[in-house]
Amino acid sequence: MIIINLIGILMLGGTAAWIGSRFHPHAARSISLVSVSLAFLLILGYLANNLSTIGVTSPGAWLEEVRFSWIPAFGISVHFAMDGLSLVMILLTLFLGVLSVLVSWKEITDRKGFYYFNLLWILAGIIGVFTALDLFLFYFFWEIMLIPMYFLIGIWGHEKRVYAAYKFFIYTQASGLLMFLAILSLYFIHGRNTGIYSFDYTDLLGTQFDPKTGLLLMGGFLMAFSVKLPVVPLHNWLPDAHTQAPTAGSLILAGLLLKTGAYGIIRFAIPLFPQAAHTFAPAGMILGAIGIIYGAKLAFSQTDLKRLVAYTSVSHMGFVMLGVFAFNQLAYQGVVMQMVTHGISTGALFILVGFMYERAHTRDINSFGGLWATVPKLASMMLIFALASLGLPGLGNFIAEFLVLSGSFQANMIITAIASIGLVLGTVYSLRIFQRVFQGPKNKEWNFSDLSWREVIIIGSLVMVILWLGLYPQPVMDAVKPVITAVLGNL
Amino acid sequence: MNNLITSGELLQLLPFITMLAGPVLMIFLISIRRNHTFTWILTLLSFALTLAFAVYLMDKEPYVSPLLTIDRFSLLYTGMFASAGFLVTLLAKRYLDNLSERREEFYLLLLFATLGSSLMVSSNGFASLFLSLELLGISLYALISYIHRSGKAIEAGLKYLILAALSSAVLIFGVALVYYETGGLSYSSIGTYLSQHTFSPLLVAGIGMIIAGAGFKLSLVPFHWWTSDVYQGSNAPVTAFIATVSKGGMVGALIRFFTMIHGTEYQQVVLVLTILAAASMLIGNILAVRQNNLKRLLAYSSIAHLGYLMISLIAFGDGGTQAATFYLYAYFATTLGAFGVISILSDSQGEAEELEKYKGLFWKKPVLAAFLALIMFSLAGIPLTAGFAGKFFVALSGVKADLWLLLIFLAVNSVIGVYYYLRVVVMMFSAPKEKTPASDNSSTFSAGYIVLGLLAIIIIYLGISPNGILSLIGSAVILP
Repeated sequence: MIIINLIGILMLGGTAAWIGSRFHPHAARSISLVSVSLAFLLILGYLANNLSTIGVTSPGAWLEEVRFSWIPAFGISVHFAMDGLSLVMILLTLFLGVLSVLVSWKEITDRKGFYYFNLLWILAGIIGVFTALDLFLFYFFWEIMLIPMYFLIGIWGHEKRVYAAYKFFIYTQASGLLMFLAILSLYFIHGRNTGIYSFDYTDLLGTQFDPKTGLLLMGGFLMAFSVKLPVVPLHNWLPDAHTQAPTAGSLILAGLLLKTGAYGIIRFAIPLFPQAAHTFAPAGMILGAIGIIYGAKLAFSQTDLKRLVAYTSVSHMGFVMLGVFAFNQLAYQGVVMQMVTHGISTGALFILVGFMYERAHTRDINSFGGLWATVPKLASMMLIFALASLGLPGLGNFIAEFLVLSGSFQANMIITAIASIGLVLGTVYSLRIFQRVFQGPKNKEWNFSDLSWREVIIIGSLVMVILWLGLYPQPVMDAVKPVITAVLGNL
Repeated sequence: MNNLITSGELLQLLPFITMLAGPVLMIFLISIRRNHTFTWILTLLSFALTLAFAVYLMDKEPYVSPLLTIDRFSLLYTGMFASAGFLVTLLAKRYLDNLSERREEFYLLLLFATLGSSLMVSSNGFASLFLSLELLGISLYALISYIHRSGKAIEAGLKYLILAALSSAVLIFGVALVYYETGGLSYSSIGTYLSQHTFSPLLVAGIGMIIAGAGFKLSLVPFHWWTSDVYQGSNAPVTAFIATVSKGGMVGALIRFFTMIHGTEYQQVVLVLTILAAASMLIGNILAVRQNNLKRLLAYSSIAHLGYLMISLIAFGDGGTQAATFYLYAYFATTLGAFGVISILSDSQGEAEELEKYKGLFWKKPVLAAFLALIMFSLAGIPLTAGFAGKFFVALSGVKADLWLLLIFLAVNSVIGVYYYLRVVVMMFSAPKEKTPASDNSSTFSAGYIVLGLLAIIIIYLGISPNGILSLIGSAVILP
């Protein structure tokens, strides 16, 4: 029931915020904060109650499951379930969700009601994606999270927002439709084989295909997930969307929406089509390595701060692609860690860039310089996350990338060796952000105020989490271990 | 056979008799004393009664005669048409209030046209099909030009008249050829003939011409030329009627025809339909992309939507008929909604058809804009809306029948569709050019808002919980 409660709270909260804004201009943000925090507390409470059982469930078992019939004529049911992986992702979603409301606190000044409505509905959609086990329901939520995001970018974004919003929508919609067709044919192939027509994940697992069909169908799923992730030839929407979105939008895009792609690959694309996944694995790893290097290279050459951070996401998500197709425990642990730590660190970078934009009204890296003396708090926070992004030991990203690389090394040495060049490039671009903005000569006299209390709380919480993940990642690994064992066991 | 109609049969014909009795009563009233509001209420009452009778007769014995088969399928469609007619009547009143004279005959034509459509679905042979098709067509000629502020409506009416007459001629010629070959006018006799003989060239030509005639009514490419001009020229409620009831009648008739002759078992027929469907999807969508007039945009988008619907017609036995009917429901609700918004925003100066007029609508009239956004999402096939469920069922039937070429077309075209539907949404959300004082005429037009409210509920209901309608459609079998 907790899954339905979470989604329900967010959807109702969003609607209430919209209605509330008609009565008081600040009602929307307060209502949103209360409802997201409530949802967050709920899942924390759940975690506290079940701490002992989470890591020790048998592989493939669900921690929580709800299921009731929806459109029985076509074997469609409302089937939500949560395992360790979903739980970790939900925690991340709601943590960043609370922060996204706080980040918007002062940034959003007009049409607040509708803004918070969209924000909360995106979060609800994302939780739906992370827990839906009926493929129809999954596609349903996959689409549901698009529209509010589209509005978020298109209405509250920066100068080229309409273009970015279009691009985002059309990329995701087009690839989503391919997945949709793949889902439908999976449904029929399974139905013809077994006589049971069902969209349910647990039913569809283990469907037999001839190799060509399997590859085609997995291709449909992978298209949708690769656009979201993004994998390099399909990444084109990302820099625009991330750059043009308001801060909370970038935070959610980078921190959560990209993770739905990774989640989809681990949960659906690989377990449903194990044979095809094996065939595709070398190509997948190569695509991952290309993404790592290409993203890093482009990140280095950006002058728009936000665009720069956006390209680092492309690079970091390359590690996910690399690890997912390495098919071993180590790499998968790394992939999940990467999903979480990238959400935290890149989210934090977007927030920090957002803070700077609020003060300077520009994101041009060349107009900054020598800002350490002016805003020491902001600068030191930026330093922490730049270091996290380059993979400094002690911070979460290090663990993730180290695990992915050592896992994929076992699978394919050459590709891994090439991919690890990305770490060097990562160092270059991360330090470049810091150096160009906070050190060196002042290009312009800025009159900034340093971080306010609200901002310190936002960033401080992120710092604590990234430190915790860097120093003691064991709880996350324990939580997802049964899931990974199950996924790998099916292969 | 007994030529007298028994009272039991009269009962079975009640939905149709109601639609006939309404106009007759109106003619009497008009000759005594004209009263717009009263005629309006009478029309609404006729439609409501038709719907009620259709629902009532659902569980009764079907009526089968040499000309008409009134089974659950035809009652389902009749109910759908009556509901659409009801909503169009609600929308049309404000337009007619602006006319100084002869307002009442409009409703009469509306009822006749709806009757024509309903009879088309109930026809079990070409004789009755052609009669009902003409009843619909002739009523439409007049309806299109009925409310004319400028020459446009007249032009549209004339255009429709010429092209529709031509298409009727093509259709009747096709029927003649088929009759020559098979010696029968009823679908069942044609079906029996086809099952025993191979296709002769004359028969192919005949069926091809029938499909062409039908394609005109459905505005499938390449018979779509009239669509955008007629949509633009006629007033929003009339356009809504053409887009829904008139096309729906033909869809129903086609479904019955193909069921009876097992049309999709013949390669030639499938090939022709496939080309029509693919061309309609592609051309309709491409032409819609660059439109700056909402009515023309909707015209082209309706061409594409009929193309989507054709997929399920081709996937016939594989749940295709049910999918087509469901899609039609979704299409009715969204189309009526879209033209409902246009008619609410239109004032005495003209129709609100330029997209420019919708700029910043969300900040001026949030309810209306939110509703139009819902419509656009439904047309684009986004979840939570009827359009999504419709597209889902169509795609499902297509996959089941392995129509991969058409499905790829569907996917590609949906993306093109998303682009221009979003354009409308973006337009509404962008900041208005200048601060126009909020116009207050809309608040007085409550009937329009009632229509939109109803449609919004239907669209979301169909999107979230299609079970009820599905089982209704599933039970609506076509009697031989």
